[in-house]
Amino acid sequence: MEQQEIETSGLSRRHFIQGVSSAALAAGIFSSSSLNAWAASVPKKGGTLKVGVVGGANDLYDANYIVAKADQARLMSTFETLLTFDENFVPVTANGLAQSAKQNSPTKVTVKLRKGVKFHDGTPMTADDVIATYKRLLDPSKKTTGKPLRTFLDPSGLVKLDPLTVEFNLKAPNVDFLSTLANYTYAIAKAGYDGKTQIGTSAFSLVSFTPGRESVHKRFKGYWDAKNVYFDEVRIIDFADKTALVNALIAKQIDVAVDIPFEQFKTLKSKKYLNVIENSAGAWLAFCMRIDIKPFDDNNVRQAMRLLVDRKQMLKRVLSGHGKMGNDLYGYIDRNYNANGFPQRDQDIPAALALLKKAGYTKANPLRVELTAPDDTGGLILMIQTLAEQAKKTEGVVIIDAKVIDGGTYWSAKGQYMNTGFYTTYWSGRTYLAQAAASMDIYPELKWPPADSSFRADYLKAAGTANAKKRREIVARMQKEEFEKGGYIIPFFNNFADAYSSKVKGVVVRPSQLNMDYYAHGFKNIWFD
Amino acid sequence: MKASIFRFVLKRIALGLLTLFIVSLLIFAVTQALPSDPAEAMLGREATPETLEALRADFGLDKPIVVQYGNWLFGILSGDLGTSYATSIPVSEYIGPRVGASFFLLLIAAIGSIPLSIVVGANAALHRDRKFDTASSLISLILAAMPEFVVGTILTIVFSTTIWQLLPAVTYLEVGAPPWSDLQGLTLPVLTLLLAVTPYVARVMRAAMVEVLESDYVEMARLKGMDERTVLWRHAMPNAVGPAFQVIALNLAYLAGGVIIVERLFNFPGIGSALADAVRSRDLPVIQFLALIIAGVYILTNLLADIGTVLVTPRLRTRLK
Amino acid sequence: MSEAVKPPQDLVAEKFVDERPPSLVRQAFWLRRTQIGAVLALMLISVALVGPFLAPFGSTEYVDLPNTLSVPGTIFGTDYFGQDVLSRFLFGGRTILILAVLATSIGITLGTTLGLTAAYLRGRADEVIMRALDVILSFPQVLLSLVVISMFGPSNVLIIFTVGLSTTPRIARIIRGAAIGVVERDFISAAEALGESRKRVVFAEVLPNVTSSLLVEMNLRLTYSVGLIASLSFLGFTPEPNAANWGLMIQENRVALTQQPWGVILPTAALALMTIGTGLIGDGFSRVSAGIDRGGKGE
Repeated sequence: MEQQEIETSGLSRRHFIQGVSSAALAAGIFSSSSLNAWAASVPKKGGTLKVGVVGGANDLYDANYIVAKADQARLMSTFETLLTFDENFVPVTANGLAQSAKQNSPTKVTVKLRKGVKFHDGTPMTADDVIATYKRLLDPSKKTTGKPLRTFLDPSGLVKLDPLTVEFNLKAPNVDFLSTLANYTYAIAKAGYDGKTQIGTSAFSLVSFTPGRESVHKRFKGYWDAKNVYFDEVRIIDFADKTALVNALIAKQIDVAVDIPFEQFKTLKSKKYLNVIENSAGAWLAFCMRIDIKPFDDNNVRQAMRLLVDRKQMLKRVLSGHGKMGNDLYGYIDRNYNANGFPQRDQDIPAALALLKKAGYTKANPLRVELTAPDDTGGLILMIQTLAEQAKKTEGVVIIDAKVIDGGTYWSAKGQYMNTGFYTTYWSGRTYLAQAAASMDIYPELKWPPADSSFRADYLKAAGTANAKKRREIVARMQKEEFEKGGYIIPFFNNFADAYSSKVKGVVVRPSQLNMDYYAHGFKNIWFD
Repeated sequence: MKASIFRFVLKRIALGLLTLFIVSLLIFAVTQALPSDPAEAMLGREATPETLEALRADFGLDKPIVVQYGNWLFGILSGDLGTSYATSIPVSEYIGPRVGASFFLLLIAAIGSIPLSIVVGANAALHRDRKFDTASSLISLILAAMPEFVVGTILTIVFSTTIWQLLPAVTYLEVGAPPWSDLQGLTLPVLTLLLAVTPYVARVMRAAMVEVLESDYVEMARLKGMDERTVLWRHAMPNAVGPAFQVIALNLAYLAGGVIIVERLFNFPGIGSALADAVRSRDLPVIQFLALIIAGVYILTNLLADIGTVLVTPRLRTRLK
Repeated sequence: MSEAVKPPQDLVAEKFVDERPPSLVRQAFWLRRTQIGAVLALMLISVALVGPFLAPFGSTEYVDLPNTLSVPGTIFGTDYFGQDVLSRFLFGGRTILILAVLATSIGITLGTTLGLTAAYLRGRADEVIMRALDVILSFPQVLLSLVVISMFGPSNVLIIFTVGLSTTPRIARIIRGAAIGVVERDFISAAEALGESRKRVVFAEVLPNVTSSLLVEMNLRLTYSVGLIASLSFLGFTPEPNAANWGLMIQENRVALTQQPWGVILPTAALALMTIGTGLIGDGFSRVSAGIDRGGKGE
C-alpha cells in the first residue's frame, strides 16, 4: 500500500522526506519485507476482530496521552498522526495524515495535509485541527505527553499557511523534527478536543468504551483510505491478568493477544492455529545512578557498577533471551547508535573492585545501596533482583538491597523515581538526540550532564546541524562522555511479542515501536481469511 | 416469639449500620495515610505541578480532610456515590453492573455449594470412617491446601486450553449484557468457587452431624422405635444444620472478598478486579463503596445465618419463646 | 477462610460432662489418623528445616535459561527466573512455615485472649469485644491487606501482622464459643470461690478446657495463612519478590505451567501434604475431645 500512496501523491514522498529530514537516514532502506508478508492471501471484508490487551480501571482514552498498552491500542484505533515510521524508523507519509512534510531549516518545517480526510463526525480535517492539537500538546495544564515538545516549540510558532498547510517555527533548532511529527501520541484530534469525546480520523469510529472492560469500534464509512479497511467491527477487550489473556487466545475467544509474556512464547508457538511475532524497536529498561547523589557522585563508583553487570546473564534471566545486549548507550534505532564503535561492555569484577577501592570501598568498608523498582513493571522487578544477585560476586564489597515499591508511590512526585540515588526506569525506542533531550530536561533522571561538561552545548549544536557527517561527529563525542561517565546502566534492549489467530491475515512483520505493527495502524490493512 | 425475633433483628440491623459507618471511617483514615495521593498515582511520571493541582481540585482533594469525608458521607446518604477518580464515571454506573455480576457469580456458587456440602457432610457422618467418609475428608483436605488460583489454573488447563478445549477460558460479558448471557463462560469460575468453599462447610456439617447423631435425643428417638430415616431427617438434620449455617455465612462473606482472585483468573467483570485496580490508583470513592458492599454482605449473611440458626434449631426456638 | 470444624458450642449440645479431659494429646495419638498426620507433618517440617542444607544450588542462584525442563545438573529444571526448581523447593519451606507460624501465633494469641476474656466476663465487656471484632471481620480481608501493604511498603513483618490480625476475630469467635460452655461449669466457680485471680482462672482453668478447639483452629489458620500470603502475591502485592517460599513459588511459576510444571507441582504437593497432615492431627484431637473415639472406638 505504501507504493500506491507514493503513486497517488505523484512524487516519491519517501525520498522527499528522507532527503530533507536527515540525510543520515537516507541510505538504501527500501525493504520489501512488509510488502511480501501479505501477498499470499486475498483480502476479504467483514467480521469482528477481538483484540485482547492487559488493562484495567485505569484505562485512558486520549489522542495525546497513554500509560498502558490498552491505551495505546485505543489511541491507535481512533486517531492518526501526521507522519508514521517505516521499518527503519524513518518518518514517512504512509498511513499518515500529511501529504508531504518538509524540513526547510533546523527551525522550520512545512506540512501539507492530505485532501479529503474526514473526522468521524463527518467534518473535514484542516490546518486548524492540527494547530489545535499541537497547542493542546504544548499546554502544561493539559494531561498529555507533550512535555518534550515544549523545549523547542511555542504555540506562537504554529502558523496556518492555508486550510491544508501548517508551518512549524521552532524556537530551538531540531533537525529531527519530522520524527517528532511521527510520534504516535501526537495524533490529530478535532479542534476543541477535550479528551472526553473521542473523534478522530481513523478507519474505525468509537461506539462505546467501558474502562476496565472493553471498547467497541465500527468501520468509519468516510475514511480516507477506505479500500484498505476490512473488518466491520473491532473490539478491544481488557484483561487484568496476562495468563488469562493468553488462555483466552488459546481457547479461541479472542483473535489477537497483544504483548504476550515470554514464558508463554514456546507454548503459543507450538499451536498450529496461532501465529507469534516478535519485535524489537530499541525499547530499554535501565538502572539509574544519579550523578549528584552519594555514592554515585563519584564516577569510579558509577563505572564500577557498570562493570559489575553480567549483561548476557541478565538478558537470559529477565527476558529469557528475547532482546539485544546493551552497552549503556541509548538510541538503538538511531543511525548513530554507538557511533564510536565501543566494544561490548561485560562483567569484570577485578576491574570493578579496583575502581571501588579508588572510591574508598572495600570489604571492611562496603558499599551498601538500596535499589528500587515499581511493582507495576515486571521486567524492572526481575532486573533489580538479578543485579543484587550479581553483586554478590564482589564478595561483600557491594551489597545491593533490592526493593520493590508500590507503583503509585514509586512514580509519584516524592517517590523513589528521580528522587533517590539508585533506581530503575524504562523508555520506548527513540532517536539518540530525542532521548538525550528527554533524559536531560524532561525527566532529569540522572541530573546529567555534570557542571563542567560540554554535553549540553554539544546537544544544541547537533540538533542544529543538518550535515549528517558533522552531526555524527558531535553525537560520537556526546556518547563517549556518556559511555565513560554516564549514570545509566543499560543492560539490554527488550523485544516484545504478540500472538494472533492464523485466520488473521495481512499482519506485517517488521521493526515497529508498537505491538502488532502499530496495531495495524488502527486495525486497517488486516483481514480475516 | 415473633416479637422477640423482631427485636433481635432490629438490634442487629442497628449494629450492622454502626459497623458500616466505622468501616467507612477506617478506610477513609487508612487511605489518607497512603504515601501518594490519587492525583499523583494517576498522573505518574507525566505529572506537572499544573496538572496535579488541576486534578486535585477536580477530586476535591484540596479541601480539609473532614470536609472531604463529610461530603462523601452526605453524598452516600443522599444516594450519590460520587465519581470514580480513575475512570471519571459515576461510581454507581461503573460499579453497579459489576456488583450485579459478582452477586450472580456468588449466588450460583452458593446455590451449588450449600446443598452439596450438606449432603456430603451428612453422608460422611452417617458412614463415619467408611470409604465415603475417608475419601471425602481426604479430598477436602487436598482442596483446602490449594489456593484458588491453583485450583482455577488447573481447571483451565484441563477443560479449556491444554488437555481438552471444551469450555471458555475466560468469561466474556458484553457491556450491558446480563451476567447469565455467558453461562458457558461462568462454568469454570463457579466450579473454582465451589471447590474452594464446599470442603469447609462439608467438614463442619460432618462434625455437627456426628455430635447430633451421638446425642441423647437422637438415641431417645431411636429407642422410641422411629425408623432411621425419620430420625435422620426430622431429628438429627435440623439440629446439625444450625451450626453449618454459621459457617456458610462466614464463607459467603469470604466469597464476597475472596472472589477477587477468581475474577482476575477468569477475567470476570466483577467487583474483585475493580477493587485491586482501585487500591492501585487510590480511587477512594470506589474503594469506599466496594468496602461497604463487601462489609454489608458480611453483615447481612451473618444476620440471616443467625436468624436461620434460631429458626432451624429446635432447642433455640424453644429458648426464644 | 474456613470456620470452625467444631460448631459453636453454645448452639449445640454441650458435651463437656466430665472434668478436664486427661491428657488429650496422648489419647489423640492412639488414633491412627493422628499418627499418619503426625508423620506427614513431621516429614514436611523436616524438608523445610533440613532442605536448605541439601539444596544443590543457592536459593536465588542463576542456573540456566528460565523455564527449561532439561538442564544438566538439575532434576526438575529451571523456574521462571532461571533458578533451580529443586533448590527453590528445598529452601522454600522454611520461610513460608516461619511466616505462617508467626502470623498464626499472633492470631491465636490475640484471638484466644480476647475470646476467653469475652466468654469469662460476659455481659457488656463481651458485647464490646465481639462487636469490635465484628468490625475487623467485616472489613474485607484482601482489601485490608492490599491497603496496608500499599501504605507501608511490602515487608514480611507487615504480612505477618496483617495476616495475623485478620485471623484474630475468627479465632476469638470460635474460642469464645467453646469457652462459654466451660465458664459455667462447677470447677470454675470453685476456683473463683478459692479466690484465684481472674487472670489465673481464665488462663489456668478455662484455657486448658478449650485446647481441642484451639488445636483444630491452629492448623486451619496455618493453611489459611499460607493461602493468603500466596494469594496476595497473585494480586501483585508481594512481600519480598523472588523470596523462596512455597506459596510464592506457585504464583511465580503459574504462567509457564504448561511449559515447566514442576515449579507449581512441587510446592502445591508439599502444601497439600502438610495440610492433610495437620488436618488429620486436628481431626484426631477433635474426635477425642468430642468423645467420639474415646477408647479407640472406630479406628
